[in-house]
Parts: sequence; structure tokens; C-alpha cells
Amino acid sequence: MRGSPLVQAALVVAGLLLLWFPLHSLTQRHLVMVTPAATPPPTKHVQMALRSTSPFRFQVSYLGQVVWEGTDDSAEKESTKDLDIDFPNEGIDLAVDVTWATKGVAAAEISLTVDGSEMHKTVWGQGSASDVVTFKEE
Amino acid sequence: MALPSACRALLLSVFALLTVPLKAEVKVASFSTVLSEITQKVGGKNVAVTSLIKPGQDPHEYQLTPGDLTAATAADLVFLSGKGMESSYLENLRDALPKRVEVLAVGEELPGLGKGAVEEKEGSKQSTEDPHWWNSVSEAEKATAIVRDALSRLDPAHTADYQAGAQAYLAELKELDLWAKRKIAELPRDRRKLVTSHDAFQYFANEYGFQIDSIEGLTTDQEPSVSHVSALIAEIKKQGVKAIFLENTLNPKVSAEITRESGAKIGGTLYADGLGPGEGETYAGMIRHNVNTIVDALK
Repeated sequence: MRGSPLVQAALVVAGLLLLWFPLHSLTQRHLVMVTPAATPPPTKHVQMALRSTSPFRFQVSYLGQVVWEGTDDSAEKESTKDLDIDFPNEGIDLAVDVTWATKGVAAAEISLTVDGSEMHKTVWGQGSASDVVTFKEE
Repeated sequence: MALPSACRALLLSVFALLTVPLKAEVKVASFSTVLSEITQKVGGKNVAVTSLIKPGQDPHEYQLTPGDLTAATAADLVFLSGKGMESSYLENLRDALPKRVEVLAVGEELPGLGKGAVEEKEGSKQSTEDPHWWNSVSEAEKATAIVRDALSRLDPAHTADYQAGAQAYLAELKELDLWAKRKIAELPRDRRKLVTSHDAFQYFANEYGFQIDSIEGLTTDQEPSVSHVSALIAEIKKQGVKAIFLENTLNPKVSAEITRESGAKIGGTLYADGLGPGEGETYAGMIRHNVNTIVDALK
């Protein structure tokens, strides 16, 4: 190679500088790791219905928050409530607390209608009952 | 003043009754901290329990000592966790115990999750089923009934006491289970992704609707492979898992690598292998600590 050693050295340094940026970006570990946000669950319109074998007082909680509470003096009719809630594919858990006027064994059925499909769970107890019921679309 | 002889005899009898300890009817040696508590609760004053695995001790690493063997030999009944937990010393234990000592592996009486298998490893059969049944409260309820029946069989005179003890303890467990379900219900089901040090939470996951993954295997004596750790990091990132949970058995370099690479945080330390110091000194305390730690970190 011809030319002065200084020019040759300058050319080598210039070449290395040109290569530095792509090499650096290829080899440097990214220090900031971003956890991909999990896809948020879809919000769905849910109709809840409660029916009991005897007059009762009830409370329904979702994710630790009371979403529906009330009293039904008639065992004949059904109480209903419409809600828009996050409903992941894995399903939802509802905490149900029921107190019946009667001291004998009684049952309360909670139904959910989501996207046209209806699901039912029953809670049994004597005087009162507390349970967590899971609803999952098939 | 001299006491009448009848009065003196009566006083001496009362003194003798007060100073001589009442003999416990059944001696139990337990190789599980959880079974020790259950036996104490069910057996009450009719049972003397010697806990050979101490709270906080890793049952996977436990080695049978001559002193513990002597204690087990003196017992009427020996309780084991079962499902392979004692596989490293079970044969020696059975061979060494006299025939009068009943050995009951409680886990073998539980239905299990149907995922396990028994495989040959280094010439001996080893279970690959999760042996940590106590991480589900409903399994602890079944174990309580098994302990009650075993004590009643061995000491039928106190059957009513064992039934009463079991009934009271089962009521506590029922309340604990409802508390756990309500607390976990605060966590959306799509966020119930549990990554733990070792694979000890299959029963917990099955009971409370979690997907699980672990850094180590079913026991704490296997270091995780590099490929397993890499796959786990990829899975944590893919699923958006917010936190991983540790035990003191895990190499801290591994957990640091996983949190650095995945972006997940350390959610806390769990009691996986039974009772331990601190909140986990009782079964209820252990479950409450685990559930609170998991829910609060993944919320």
C-alpha cells in the first residue's frame, strides 16, 4: 500500500469509526426491557340474574368491589342487573354473599348472560352463604 | 399438727397426680410440618407429636439421622407427606422401623392431580407427581380426615375426641379456604400467572385457577438449565407476567438474571415446602402469607 503511514492510519481509523455504529447496535444489550403489555381483556355486556328459594338479601362483588346488592322479598320473581365489565377468556370470579329470611336450607341461583349464552351457578346455605363462583364462556 | 392418715393419703394422691405427667395415648412422629399441625389439632391432649422436619427446613434436602430414626422407632404412628417426598430415605426408614409402628404416607391417600408418573431414576423408583398437596386448602381438609381416621383406628377409646378435634380444625380450614378464594377473586383470571422458584404450586394453581411455571423442577436440588431459564424468560415476556416468586433455596444469580431479562419484578417469598418461621408458623398463616403475596404482586 502506498502513501504516508499517517494517511494509512487515518484511513484505518476512519474505517473503524464507520463500522462502530452498526457493530455497537448489534452487540449492545438493550438495558431497558419493556414487558409487552398483555392484551387487555374485552369489555362485555353482562346481564346478571338472581333467583332464590326464599326471600333474601344479597351482595355480588367483582374484583373486590361490590357491583350489585339488594333485597328481594319475593322468591317468585327474578332480580336482574346489567353491567359492562372486563370479561377475559379465562372467565370471571364473582364473590356472592346471601342471607335468607328463613333459617332452613335455601339456595340462590345466579345466572349470567354474555354474548347470548347463559350460564348458571347455585349457592346453598342455611340462613346465609358466602361463596366464590366462576363463570367461563365455553 | 398431725394430719389424719386418710387425709394425708388423699393429699399424697393429689400431689402425685399433679406432678406425674399424664401419659399421651398415641405417639406420632411426623415427617411433615403441616401434618404435625394437623395431628396436634386433631389429636389434642391424647397425642404426643414429634416433628422430625422442623419449620423452615427443606424437606427435599432432609437426611434421615440416627436420632430421628430413634424418635420414629419410639412412635406408634409415623406420618409422611407421600407422593415421593420421602423417596430418598423411605426404604431405609421402612426397613429400620419395627413392625408395630404404622407408617402412613398421607399423600398416597389423596386423589392427586392425575398428572404424575413414577419413573426409574438411578435404580430406584421416583415419583414425578407434585408432592406439595398442602398448598391447596381442600387437600389439607382431606388430609385432616385421614389423620382423624388413623388416630381413631389406633386409639378407638378417644374416637369422639378425634372427631371433635377434626371438626373444629375443618371449620377453621373451611373459613381459610373461603378467605383465600375471596382474596384471589380480587385478581382478574387473565393475570393469574404464577412463576415460582420450584414447581410446588400445582395444587394451588388447580384450586385457584392459575397458570404456573417454575424455575426449578419438582424438587429444590436441581439447578435449572440455561435453556430452561431462556425459555422461561421468553414465556414471562410473552405472557406479560408482572412478578416472579422466590424461596430461599434458589440461587440469587438466576432470579436476578430472570428479572433483568424479562422485566418482571420479584413479587416476594413464598412458603412452598410447609410451615416456616414468621407468618408461616401456622398452616393458616402460611396460606394467608402466600395468597396475599401473590395477589398483591400480580394485581
